[in-house]
Amino acid sequence: MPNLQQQIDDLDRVVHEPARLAILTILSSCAEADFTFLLRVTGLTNGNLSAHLTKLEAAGLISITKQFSGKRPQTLISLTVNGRDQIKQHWRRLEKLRDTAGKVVSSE
Amino acid sequence: MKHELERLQFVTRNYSLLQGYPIALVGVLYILLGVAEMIWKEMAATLIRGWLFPVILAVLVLAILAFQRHYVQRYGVVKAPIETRRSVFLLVFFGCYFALVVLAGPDFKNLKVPLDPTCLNGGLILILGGLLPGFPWRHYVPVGLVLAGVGFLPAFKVMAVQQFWHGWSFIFPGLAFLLCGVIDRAIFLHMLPKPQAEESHA
Repeated sequence: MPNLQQQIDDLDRVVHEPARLAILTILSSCAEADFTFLLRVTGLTNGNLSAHLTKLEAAGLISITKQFSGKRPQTLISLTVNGRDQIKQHWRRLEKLRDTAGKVVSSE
Repeated sequence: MKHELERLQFVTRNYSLLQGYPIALVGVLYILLGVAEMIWKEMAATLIRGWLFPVILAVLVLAILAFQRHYVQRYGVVKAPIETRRSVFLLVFFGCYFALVVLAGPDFKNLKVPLDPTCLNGGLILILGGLLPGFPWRHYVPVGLVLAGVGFLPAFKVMAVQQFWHGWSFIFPGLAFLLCGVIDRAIFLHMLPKPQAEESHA
């Protein structure tokens, strides 16, 4: 019997939290996106998004660049190489977990 | 959850393609040209050749810049979406389009039926654009089919070819392009979640 609990425990909590997974998924689909885009597409509040971005940056998964676009300040966010690897690995783990869960259900 | 993440990826990859305003503004340009043709008839052609067309083009460029600014300020910026062989598909699109145009001859005369070439041309562009793999424009196909169908109305004696010359050959494609742009934007807005209310710590 595959060890389902072990696989759940192995999931990276920093990545697996739904809002952070959403942010990482968005960033994995582009080179970089700005704060406004992430805000609009995730539907998070300013405060929530900032907090999640800080956690992801601290974990080394994203890099944040602040710059000016004309007179407007712009915060650009992109995945680091480590972040891109982590999100790919996370998807693989989730797929594996789904397969294992399917086997557990069918064996019961 | 998976569906939600697919939605996020779809919006990110197709952000610029779903803004809709370039094709909608081309639609507006066509409608204006058609209306000018209806009102001023022969004079419209003179105006269009003279000062009117550059003025309309300048307004169009300004409108594009204004819409661009609106999207950047309201919805943000996505740089270099990860595109899967889109440029290859675009080349195939242009190849197919030119092959069709060459086969059909100038103004589709090789088809040997009375038709409006502008509507048929617009319809073909929309159909091919809608069939492009990797692009989010499937709704262009039915709109393009209707527009191409309108181009064939003279063949079924519903409208005379001459009637198209009084502005309709611009207005029909203009309406189709505008509709495609409006649907693009509707899809984009539909894909965005409602923003959460900011938590109050009072």
